[in-house]
Amino acid sequence: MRHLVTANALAAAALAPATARADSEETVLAVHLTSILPQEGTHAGADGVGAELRFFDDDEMMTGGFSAFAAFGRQGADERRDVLDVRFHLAMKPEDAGRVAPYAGVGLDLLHVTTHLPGPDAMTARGTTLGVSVEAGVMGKASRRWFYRASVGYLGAIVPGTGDDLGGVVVQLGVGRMIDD
Amino acid sequence: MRRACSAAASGLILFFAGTAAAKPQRELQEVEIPPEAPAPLVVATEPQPTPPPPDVEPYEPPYDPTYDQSHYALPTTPIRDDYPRESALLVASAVHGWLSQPAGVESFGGGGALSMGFVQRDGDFPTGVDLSAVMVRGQGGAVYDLSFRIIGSPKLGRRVLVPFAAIGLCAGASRIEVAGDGDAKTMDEASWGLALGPSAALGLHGFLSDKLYWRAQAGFLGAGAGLYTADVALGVVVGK
Repeated sequence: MRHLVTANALAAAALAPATARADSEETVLAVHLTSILPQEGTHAGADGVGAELRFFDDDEMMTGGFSAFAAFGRQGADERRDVLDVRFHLAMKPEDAGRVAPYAGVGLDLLHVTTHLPGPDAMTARGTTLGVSVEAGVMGKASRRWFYRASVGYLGAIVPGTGDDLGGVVVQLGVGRMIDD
Repeated sequence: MRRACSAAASGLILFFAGTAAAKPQRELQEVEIPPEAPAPLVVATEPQPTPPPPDVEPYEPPYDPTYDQSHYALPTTPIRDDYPRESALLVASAVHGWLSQPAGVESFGGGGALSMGFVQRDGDFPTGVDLSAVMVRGQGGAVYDLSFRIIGSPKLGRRVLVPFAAIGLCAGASRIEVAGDGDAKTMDEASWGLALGPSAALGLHGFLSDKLYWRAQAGFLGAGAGLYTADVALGVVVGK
């Protein structure tokens, strides 16, 4: 009998924090590193930073939010592209997945692209365009306060000024905090 | 007493089982109950082992400014929660801009911005909105943008230093003077136009006093020229 009481007390103590956070819906403010992988013969790739406001619920299959990044083009033999991006995105993940939630989603992107063409016909083209993105990865709560996300995606758009295909593989690694407590 | 109870229980069980009449009753035998074992000797000065406390994080109740703490026997630390739950702001900023050039990102020029903002100091999401008119002029041209951003931030309350992210849209006019080799430092050619684009920033903000707000941020205005910006701002709370 004494062991039963002890076990009950320990179980209640262990479950108390989880019960306190029974409201599993969170708003996350995250920062992330972004890399647009280079395409040989087209562009030299770009690296940058971004921020994200995300709604995340352990118990729901939908997640989404707003994000933005600025990626600075690498110097190289190919085109150098600086990409400024604001994205509204939605994604689906398994229900009841809080710690490790694989996901896949789509986004609508508003982009500003500055393109520097190298060589004898050097020129600079600047402009705004719309794009579509798809991404897949994993996200979740690393602890009570911290959130993480890692994804690989593809950003599809037409580069303003040159008419090239922006098409680039985008890798993002992010970390953030829950901000609605 | 125990034997009486045992006998009564046995009788009841046998009665309900319907076997009382079928089987001959056995006589109860005397059973000798062994004396209780003596309690172990405890030395008064010997410390008693105590179980370690469970390794769990303490429960923190959600913040509730209306929660009545008057029932506590001891006085609690006074916490000022008499700030408004939301504030309208008028903010002036000093802005510096950088522009992407063939050789890299180079300084473009400086200017200012005037913003109207609204923040929920105890809210969840969105924490606020910001409407800014940004004017940056330099030797290589000028950028005039109107930017609208949603602000996401941990609860501001009365705090001085809180990180935030602002994401939105901007629209505006820009003029860039460009040389034949693509360098914006000379005035061989000029390109200008009106455009819509993305806008975002990452920074720190907070309240210096009941009426004074500050902000420092780095971001971009992606309309027309595509300007990277950094600004420092001071604002006042308008109204209550």
